[in-house]
Amino acid sequence: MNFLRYTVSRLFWSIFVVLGVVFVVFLVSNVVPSDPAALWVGPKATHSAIQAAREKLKLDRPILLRFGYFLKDLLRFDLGTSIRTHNPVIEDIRKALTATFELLLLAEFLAVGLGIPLGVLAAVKRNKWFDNLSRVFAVAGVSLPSFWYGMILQLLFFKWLGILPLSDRIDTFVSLIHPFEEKTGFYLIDTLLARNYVAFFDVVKHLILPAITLAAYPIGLIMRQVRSMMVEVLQENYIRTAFAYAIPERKIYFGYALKNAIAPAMVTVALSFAYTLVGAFLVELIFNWPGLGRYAANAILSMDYPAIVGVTIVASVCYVLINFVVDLIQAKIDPRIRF
Amino acid sequence: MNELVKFENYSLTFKTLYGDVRALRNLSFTINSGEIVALVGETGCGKTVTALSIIGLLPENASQTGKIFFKGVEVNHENVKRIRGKEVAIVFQDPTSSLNPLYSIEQQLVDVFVSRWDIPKSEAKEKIDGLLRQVQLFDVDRIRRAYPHELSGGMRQRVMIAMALACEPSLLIADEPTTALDVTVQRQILYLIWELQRARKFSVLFITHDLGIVAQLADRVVVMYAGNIVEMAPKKELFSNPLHPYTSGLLNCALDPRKKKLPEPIPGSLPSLTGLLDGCIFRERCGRVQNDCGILTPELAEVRPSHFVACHLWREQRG
Repeated sequence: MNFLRYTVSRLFWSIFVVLGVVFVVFLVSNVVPSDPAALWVGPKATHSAIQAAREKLKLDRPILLRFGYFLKDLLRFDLGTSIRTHNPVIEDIRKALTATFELLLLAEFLAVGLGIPLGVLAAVKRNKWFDNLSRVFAVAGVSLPSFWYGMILQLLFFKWLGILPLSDRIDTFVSLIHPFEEKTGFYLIDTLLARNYVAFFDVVKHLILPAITLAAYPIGLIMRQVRSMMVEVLQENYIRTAFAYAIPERKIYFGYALKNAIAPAMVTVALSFAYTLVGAFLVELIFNWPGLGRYAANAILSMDYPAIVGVTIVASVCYVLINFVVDLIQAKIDPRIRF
Repeated sequence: MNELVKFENYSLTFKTLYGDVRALRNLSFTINSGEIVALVGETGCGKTVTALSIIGLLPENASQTGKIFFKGVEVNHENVKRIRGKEVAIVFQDPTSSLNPLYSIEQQLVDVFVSRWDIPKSEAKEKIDGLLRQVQLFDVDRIRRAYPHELSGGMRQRVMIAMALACEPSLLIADEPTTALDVTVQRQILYLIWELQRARKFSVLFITHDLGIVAQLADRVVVMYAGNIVEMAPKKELFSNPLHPYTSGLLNCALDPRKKKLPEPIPGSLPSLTGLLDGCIFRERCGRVQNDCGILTPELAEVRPSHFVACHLWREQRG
């Protein structure tokens, strides 16, 4: 019952945050020094054409009224029309978002699945060779720019070893010879649903390098964070109690201690998730991944302001949503959080 | 009486950046079966480390010399695992930090049962109610489901005692189990330990700096100072006839409501345990210091029947 109340209150605050973000984004998009109407009609437009576009885009109305329209459209999931592609922004984003999510989920899965156990091991083997080695890798993962080792990986696995593809989500020939229906937008799921295993393995091969590139940073971060929290927790009295009562060591490390150490790492996971969502557009650029980062980068470069606003709102909603989920997981782990 | 635990010339040194810290020096004493031994001394004199030595729970930088015997067998790295959490159970000082905050009481007790007796979880769960009732926690349904933060300090300590009882130990180490509790609750916990000991006949190593507790509970008292045993005697003998100046000092420190004047503190503080020299460890705070005290380290000797003391003042009386 407590947990339900906590959930509802977190949800309420999350919605509040989203509304705030929407307002700020709208304001900022209105003070940028460029004329959306001029961009809409393109270069060499006549004055009257721009004026017509201004009326069509309702840019001549008072700003508060326009915020009203904006909210109304938003409730209908209408983010306007992209100036660059002339498609509905929401459509563009949906496509880009699924592509990004497919990559992102895999990368985070790698980051959590490797970062947490490696962090625990490093803490248990503190100052032994494993810890030192893992420290080197973690520092490298965090400090080297992702576009650099992205390209190194391409060099290694595409050019020299020739076992993995260079870029894109799927090979053009494979998609032509073995077409499949895009039901969910997640190629892994779509190909499996179509029982199209040739395409499935091709998709997997295309995912490996960008996923590793994206995961390197959060792996390092999570590993170091879990390690330092574990080192702290392992000094706690309740860990001494567990040892004094001969609880199996694996259970002490991965249960008694890890459960206490995991909370800050969860926040890191959430942050890296959000960071990766749009922040890693370089990785998407290198691997020619048709994701949200690349879409955002293109939108910024061509001053496509409905698209920029759309991406910002979607990204912040995702961010708030992830934090909401993390809050819930933390409350599930720690009974002291619920009140 | 047969010896359950025997320390023989046991010394413990911690290697640190600032040099070797000699935490325990030449400890020799025994705990007999069915006996309550009180280990008394100031904070930092090595009481807890002595207890942890029995179950081999020492930090990595500890190096030890001498021997500890348990039921006549020398304790080493291998067989200590058969003792820890099985033959020897421990109740720690602060029940709040000694219970895992993210596990329910039931989970923690079940895990102890499972690792002690190698029984399936379902079987362990059935035993918990009875266990909680033994430590006088009767609201079993609530307490099983509770997390440590939902219980009072006294209840948490009862849970810790229940955990120890789950092991059916032959030695219970109680490391200042009442220090973190309210005075009224202290009494209850002490009484509980005493009652359980009478019923089950296990030995107790009771670590405390509270002589009031010692007077009530102990059969025999071991007084420690700066990693050394300075005096050791049956309770009545020690209270009526304290021989070591430190013991007398401790007794003078105890509050006595019948006397009007405040207790007298022992002047000075514990010496640094790095780079200890020869001579009596207590000499700098001792009111009865002699010439020998700076040169010779006094050895623990039996000066009256089962009354041992390490002090030059009583050298002549050695048998």
